[in-house]
Amino acid sequence: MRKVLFLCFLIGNFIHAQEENALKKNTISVDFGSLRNRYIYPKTDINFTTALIKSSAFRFSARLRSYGTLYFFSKTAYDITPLLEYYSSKTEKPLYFSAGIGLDTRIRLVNDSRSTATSSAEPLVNIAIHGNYKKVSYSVPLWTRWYTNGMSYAILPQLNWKLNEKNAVFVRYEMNYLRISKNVSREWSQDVFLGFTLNF
Amino acid sequence: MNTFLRVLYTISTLFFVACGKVPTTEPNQPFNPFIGDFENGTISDFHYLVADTTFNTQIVTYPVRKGKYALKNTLKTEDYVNNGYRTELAIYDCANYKSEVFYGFSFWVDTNYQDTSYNLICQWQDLPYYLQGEDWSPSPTLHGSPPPISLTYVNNNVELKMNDNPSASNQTFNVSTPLKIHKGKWYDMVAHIYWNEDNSAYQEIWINGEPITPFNGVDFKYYHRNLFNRAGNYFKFGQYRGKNKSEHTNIIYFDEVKIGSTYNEVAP
Repeated sequence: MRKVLFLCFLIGNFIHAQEENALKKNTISVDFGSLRNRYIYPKTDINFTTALIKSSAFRFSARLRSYGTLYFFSKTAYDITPLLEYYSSKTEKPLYFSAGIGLDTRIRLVNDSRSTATSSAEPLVNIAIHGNYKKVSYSVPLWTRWYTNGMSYAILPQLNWKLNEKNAVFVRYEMNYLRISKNVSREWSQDVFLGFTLNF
Repeated sequence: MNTFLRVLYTISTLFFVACGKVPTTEPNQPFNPFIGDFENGTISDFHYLVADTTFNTQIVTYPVRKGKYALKNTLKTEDYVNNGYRTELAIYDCANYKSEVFYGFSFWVDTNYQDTSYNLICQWQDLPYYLQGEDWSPSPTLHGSPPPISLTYVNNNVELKMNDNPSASNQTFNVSTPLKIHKGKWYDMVAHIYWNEDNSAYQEIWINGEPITPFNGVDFKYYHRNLFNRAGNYFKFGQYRGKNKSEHTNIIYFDEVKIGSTYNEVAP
């Protein structure tokens, strides 16, 4: 694992960046989370975001979330979340916005008769605020997901600290609000993640 | 087709593909009423956490609380199953989020029982929150703890113990005052539990018809959260000593294991 992370770091430092504008670079981020509601449970994410596509203001991203592991490989549960977003600005500014659509795909492989988890995919709409100032950048996405029996909202604020032009470390907090329409059942859940990004 | 129409088409398509349910548990899901009186001469109604069912869980005709048969539960020193020394039978789908359930069984501690350290004779163990991606074996293992509720036989007494911290292994606390248990005698246990992840949850336990949970000024319900998440718990009985290896082989008999909606439905 250390070798992989170190390799990512090296690639990021050796690949020549064409422009300083981070929106015109591809981005890979990895993060690790374990603080879940009232107990500890490991999760990891690998997220890839393209540079602005050609000369448009669109970026495509895909996130792979692995459950029950700090090593990215899970035998039982993944989420795959592709997302296409339109940005209000083609350059980083102190404040700009994005909006997009995607799919939140839950893949549940657990083989246990007690489990009621099933695999499925739901539509996702994302509205996000972004900002950039000197060594700090932030984003505050708000996800809305629709299900056959209800919907959910998630807010995922992320604060990045730029180490250099290509690398940054970040902390992200995720709060989910899940709501079943029929009997008005609601649940709040939360997670905290630490990670780093690589622009190339 | 211009870009706007493409985006509109994609959004419309996405809204039609919503195919899953919200990954949270609906409250008060019906549970399975259960009668395990061993009168069919087997333990086939249960799930096993047993090293050797032909030895550790035998059907016997003496002692018997009711009917013709009871269960002889034997735990040898080397019976290590699923990360603990145990001989347990389990019942699933009987402790669901925001449901109210009665449990009952009878137990008889063998006269040759020798240990004084803890031995869980029944427990309601938490489950991974499968709906939100969890399973039993995260890597690394970060979530391991005693069950939210257990009836523990220790130092010749039974005690109702609870655990409030799903990430700690040493924060159990006593709810009841210790009740002296005489070996070679049947005891009837009935538990009335409302399952929830907040302190509206309660547990009310009787041994031989007498409450062992403390009087709260109105009744004997002890209000304290008893779920770590909304996946609910499941019920196990038998002998469980965790990592605490015994130097002796110990025997406890069980009979009249029942799960239902009222006291009278489950009381032996």
